Amino acid sequence: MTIRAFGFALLVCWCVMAAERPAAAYLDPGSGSMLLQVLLGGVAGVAVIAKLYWGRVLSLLGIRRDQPKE
Amino acid sequence: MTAAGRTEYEPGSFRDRSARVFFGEDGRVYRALTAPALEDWDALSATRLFRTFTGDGRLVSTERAPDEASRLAALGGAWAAVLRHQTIPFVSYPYEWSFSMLKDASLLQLDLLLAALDEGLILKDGTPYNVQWNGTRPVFIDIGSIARVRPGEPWAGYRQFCRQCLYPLLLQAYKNVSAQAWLRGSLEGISAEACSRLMSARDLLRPGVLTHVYLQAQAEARTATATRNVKDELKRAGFSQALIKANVQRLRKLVGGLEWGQQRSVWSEYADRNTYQPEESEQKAAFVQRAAAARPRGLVWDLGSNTGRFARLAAAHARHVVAVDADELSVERMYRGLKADGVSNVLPLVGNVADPSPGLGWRGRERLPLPDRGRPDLVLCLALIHHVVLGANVPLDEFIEWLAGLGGEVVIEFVGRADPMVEALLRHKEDLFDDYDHAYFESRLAARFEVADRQELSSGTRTLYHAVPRRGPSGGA
Repeated sequence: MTIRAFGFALLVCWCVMAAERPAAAYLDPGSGSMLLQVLLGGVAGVAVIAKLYWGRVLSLLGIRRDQPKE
Repeated sequence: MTAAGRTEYEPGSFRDRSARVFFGEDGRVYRALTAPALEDWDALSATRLFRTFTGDGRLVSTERAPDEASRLAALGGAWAAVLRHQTIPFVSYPYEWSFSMLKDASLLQLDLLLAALDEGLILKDGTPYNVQWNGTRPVFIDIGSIARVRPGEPWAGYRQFCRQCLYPLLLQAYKNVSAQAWLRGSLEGISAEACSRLMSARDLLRPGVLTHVYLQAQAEARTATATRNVKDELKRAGFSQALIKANVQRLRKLVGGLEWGQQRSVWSEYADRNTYQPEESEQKAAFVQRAAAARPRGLVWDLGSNTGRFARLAAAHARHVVAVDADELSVERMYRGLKADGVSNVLPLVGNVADPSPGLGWRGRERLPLPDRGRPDLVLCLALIHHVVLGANVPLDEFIEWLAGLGGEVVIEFVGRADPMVEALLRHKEDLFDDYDHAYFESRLAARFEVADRQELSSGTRTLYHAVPRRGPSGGA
């Protein structure tokens, strides 16, 4: 992976985490570490970050109401 | 061990409910598995990784118990299988390891994880407590933590690996702060938040600090109260094993590059710059050699081992030697030296006789004090007693009682009051130590031991004793 791609992933992940808003008092101390592993996965992580938050953008715009369930 | 027909599980093995360790009446180590854990074992035991890693001793040798049916019947409950493991000579914990020992134990976990990922397996956790030692060779012992990969899920052990392996190593490599007190103070290790606070802005430029420490601390803080199911979200977004592998490969490079730069400590040069004359040192070596060779030894402890000269002498006559010193740099050098010379039966540990490893964790039994992990047949206490009595203020008769309570023979050196080391210890201390007296020492020793051999060293200030318990050894481990 190039340094530029890693830098981009870092930036995207940082923005995403900065936009995170705590919701309720449910303690899940592993959540942050799980999310970080997307960033630490390198180039492949960029696509996952994009997918992870594209769904949220669609929901926010009312284009998609619910996340599809498996 | 079975008592009144019921199996007693190893008190530290309760965390993973799908696999629990117990000791057989034959002294061997067994592991009971649930049905899903048995499927993981079947998958693991068919892999190339299993053959390779058990073949070179990096993974504990394991087989289905030959008498599985009767053991299952004795266990009762919902167990599906019983495994039998190779026995580890002496159990130790990360807060007793020097820097390179924790580093090597960490690298072993990452190597095992990388090999596992290639064969559809993963480690369920990332804890150095899963690693033990055959001498200076690390062995991964928790077969139950190797499981089949669940597609789309991140490595569950990543955060634990950071807390218990990576952060202690980073703090020692970058800040020259030893992590043993941290690890002994908290079995869960060092949190990302605490580690992040200890790093300066300049440290953010050092490998691993920005991502594994700072960003992880931020991510943990920002998601601490979130209600989202991150695991499901990641699965839907296409999280794959390739990401775990890329992360672990990078972690391996990071850990592999960490070095502890400490060059000197109060005790690290002791072997070269002690107050002994050369002929005195040879007399001492010959005495230890003679005492150790008197009969075959099982477990030997060398307390105050420094860089392990006498532990090596004893090792020639013992099944296993545990060599303990309070100075980490001395232990670090001992570990590197033993490893380089291929000495296979000496385990170096950081520890202080006057402040020993306590019982820790649930009920204080999850991690055990040293004597509860195996009693020594022979204890070497060379140039130690003045540190215990004059340095740590332990009453002399209590120290002798403690030694006698261990049940084994003792090789002990009394360092007289005229010795320069004793003078140095008392230089700035009020001398309240009436009990630190040669005649009194001999009377206390004679009360609990028979002196089989005694030799005054040529300096005239030090005397060696080989002492045998009056009632005979109370059984080794």
